[in-house]
Amino acid sequence: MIGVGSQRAGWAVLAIAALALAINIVWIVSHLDWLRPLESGQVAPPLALPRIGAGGALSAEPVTLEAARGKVVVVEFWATWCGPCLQALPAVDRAARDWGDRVEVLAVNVDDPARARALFDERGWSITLVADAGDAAARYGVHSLPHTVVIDRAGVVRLVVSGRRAGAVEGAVERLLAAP
Amino acid sequence: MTFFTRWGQALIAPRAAMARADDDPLPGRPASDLMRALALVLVVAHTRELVAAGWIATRLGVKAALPALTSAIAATATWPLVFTLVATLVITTAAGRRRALGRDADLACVAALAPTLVALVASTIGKLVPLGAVGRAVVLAVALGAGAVLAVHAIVVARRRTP
Repeated sequence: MIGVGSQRAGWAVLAIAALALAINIVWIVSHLDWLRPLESGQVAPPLALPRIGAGGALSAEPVTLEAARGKVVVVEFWATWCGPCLQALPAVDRAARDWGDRVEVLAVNVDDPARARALFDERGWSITLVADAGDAAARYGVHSLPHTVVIDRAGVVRLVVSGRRAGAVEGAVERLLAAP
Repeated sequence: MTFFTRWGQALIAPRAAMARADDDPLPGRPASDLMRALALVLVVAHTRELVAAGWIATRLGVKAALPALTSAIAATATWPLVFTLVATLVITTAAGRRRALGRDADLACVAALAPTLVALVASTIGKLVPLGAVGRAVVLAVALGAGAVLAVHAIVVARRRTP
C-alpha cells in the first residue's frame, strides 16, 4: 500500500534531481571555457595561487602566471595522498635546481596545505609550493594526478601530461629553453 | 508504483518500504532501484564532468577521457556501494537465524537510497557554494546517519521475516 506521502516524496526527489540538472546545465553554458580540454597551443588560463607557508598558512599575495611571463613555467598538480605524485616530485625538484631562474616550477597542492608544507620541509624540496585555493584544477582540466602542464615564455601551453610521464616534461622544458 | 515513489517511500515510510522490499515477488528490484538512483545522480549531479569527459574523448581520444569519466563514476558510486556492502553484512548478521543474504542485500539497497539522496543534494549545493572540509564531514555524517536509521528498520524487518 503506497500512501500519498510516498508519492509526494517521490515527486520531491524528482524535483531535486531536475533542479540539480538545471543548475549544472546553467553552469556548463556559462563556463564552456573551463570544460574545453586544455591542449598544446592554447593560451594558458590565468592562475593566482597562494604560497603555502609554515604550518600550511596561505599567503595573501598570490603567485601568478603573469609574474612569470618570460620564463618557462611548469605547473605540477599533486596531492599528498597521491603515490605517483610523490614519486615524480623529487625528479621535478632536481630538474628545477638545474634549470635555475629560467624556469618557474609551481607545485600546486590540491588537498591539504599543512601536510603538503610538512612534506616539502621534510624532504627538502625547494620548488614553489602553492595551493589550489580556487578553481585552478578545474580550469586546467585536472581529472587525475599527477597532472603537469608546461607553458612557454609567451604563456602558451606546450605540453599537458596526466599520470606517469617518463621524462616528457623535462624534455619539453629543455626544448623550450633551447628555442630562441 | 514508480521508481521515484519507491524512493520516496524509503525516505518517509522506511518500515513499509523495507517490508515491501522483503516481500517483493521480484527479488533484486531494490538493487535495480539503487543502480537507477546512482545513474540518475551521475547524470544530474555530475553533468559537467560527463560533458568534460565527452569533450576530451572527442578532442583527445577515449583513453584520455577515461580519468574524467572514472572520476565522475567514483564520486557518484563509491560511498553508496560501500554503504550497501557494510549494511548488508550488518543486516544479515543482526537478522540471526532469519537471515537470507539476498533479501538482506535488497534491504541494504533500500537503505542506501537515503545516503544517495543526501549525496545528490550535497553535490548540488556544492556546485553553488564550496562545502569545505567541515561541510563535507557534515554531509558524510548526515548521509551515514540517514542510512543507519534505514538500516535499523531493515534489521527489524529482517528479524520478523517468516523463515
